[in-house]
Amino acid sequence: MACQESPARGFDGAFRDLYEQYKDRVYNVCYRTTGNAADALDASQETFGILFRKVSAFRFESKFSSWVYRIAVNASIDLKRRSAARPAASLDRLRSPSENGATIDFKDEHVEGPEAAASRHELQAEIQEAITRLSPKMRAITVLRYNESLSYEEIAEALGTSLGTVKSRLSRAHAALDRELTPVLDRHNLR
Amino acid sequence: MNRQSIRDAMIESLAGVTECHAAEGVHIDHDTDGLELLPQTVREHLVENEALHQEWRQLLRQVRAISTLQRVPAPSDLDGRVVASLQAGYRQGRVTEHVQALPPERAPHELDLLVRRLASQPFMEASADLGDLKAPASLDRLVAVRLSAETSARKPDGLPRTSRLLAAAALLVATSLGLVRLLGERDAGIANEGLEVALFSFRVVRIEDPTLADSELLGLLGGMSGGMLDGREGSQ
Repeated sequence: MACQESPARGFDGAFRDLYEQYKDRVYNVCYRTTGNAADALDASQETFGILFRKVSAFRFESKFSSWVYRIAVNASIDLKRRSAARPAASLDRLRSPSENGATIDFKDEHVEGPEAAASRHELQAEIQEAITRLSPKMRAITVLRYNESLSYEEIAEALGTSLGTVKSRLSRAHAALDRELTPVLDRHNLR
Repeated sequence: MNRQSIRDAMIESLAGVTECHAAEGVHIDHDTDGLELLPQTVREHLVENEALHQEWRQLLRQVRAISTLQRVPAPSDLDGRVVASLQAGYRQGRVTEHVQALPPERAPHELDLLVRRLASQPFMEASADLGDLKAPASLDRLVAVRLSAETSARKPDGLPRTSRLLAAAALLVATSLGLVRLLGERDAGIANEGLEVALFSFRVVRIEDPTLADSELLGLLGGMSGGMLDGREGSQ
């Protein structure tokens, strides 16, 4: 398996392939879980550091992608826990979603017009904020399920829990989303 | 099916929303009820029960909103940071390997001495920072004043003046009965009545300073105090 090469060989070959294959998925999970670009970058770096150090010890007892998600989720939650201990104002709140790292579909903007595009970006920022207000575990399960489209089995592997826990936690996450997200959707008249 | 199992089935069916989203891009038809995503048995429950139907609409609404969040691509900074972190880890690993490969060495005796000196250094440095402190001149004066006060208040090899006065006062009270008897005998001339107290008169004397007191009284008190008033215990 190419992934089991020693890190001493540097960043070429298998490691580069692995990084290219997972970097967007890892960054996306970190971004949605931490809620801001700076923390997402730190958590992603941490994830790949762990990944490259421990890849030779991976035993293929679970899906490789689940293992990568697990490292990314844990790195994001750990980072948020550490930063919660030293609270600081985030400049991300002052920036638009596009500056924050979220993509803007320019083709859509031409169809929508600038005002509609701005309104859509505002809505997306508020949805992200609502997700960020969930507890770290509920946030992670929501992101893995609805942004990464993972099955219950994959989520259970990624979070190291049972299927029953995944179901109950997702149900609780929806109850929490009902409190956090419904007012946002009502404000934007979104059915 | 009970309500919880229907809710679980509804939540599980929501995966279909994200799959549709992936297939159709961000344009999802938010006007549909999405009932086609549900299993037939659950759909039947929803048709019969408006509360369940409403719950499904709420769940659908949440997931449709979350699905509009587009995937955020990794920024280009990440490449450089990961490479740097990997290389740092690689260098660290190489250093560790080199250190582990070194043959074992005995620490020289000089190391012990050096460590001991280093261990005591903080204390020495802290002491050096204090410098040679001199007692202020006011301390000399204070000590001198206190010393002279003690000397003047004390009779040679006796108790302090305050203690002597207190002792005298205590003895005066304690021996009041004896005084009363003596004075009573003298004034009233009742020699044969024994210890009975007769009518008499007496003075209250305030002793500010034992040295200024009447010599007869002092002799009396000195005898009763066993010499404490003079600073000589045991004298009559």
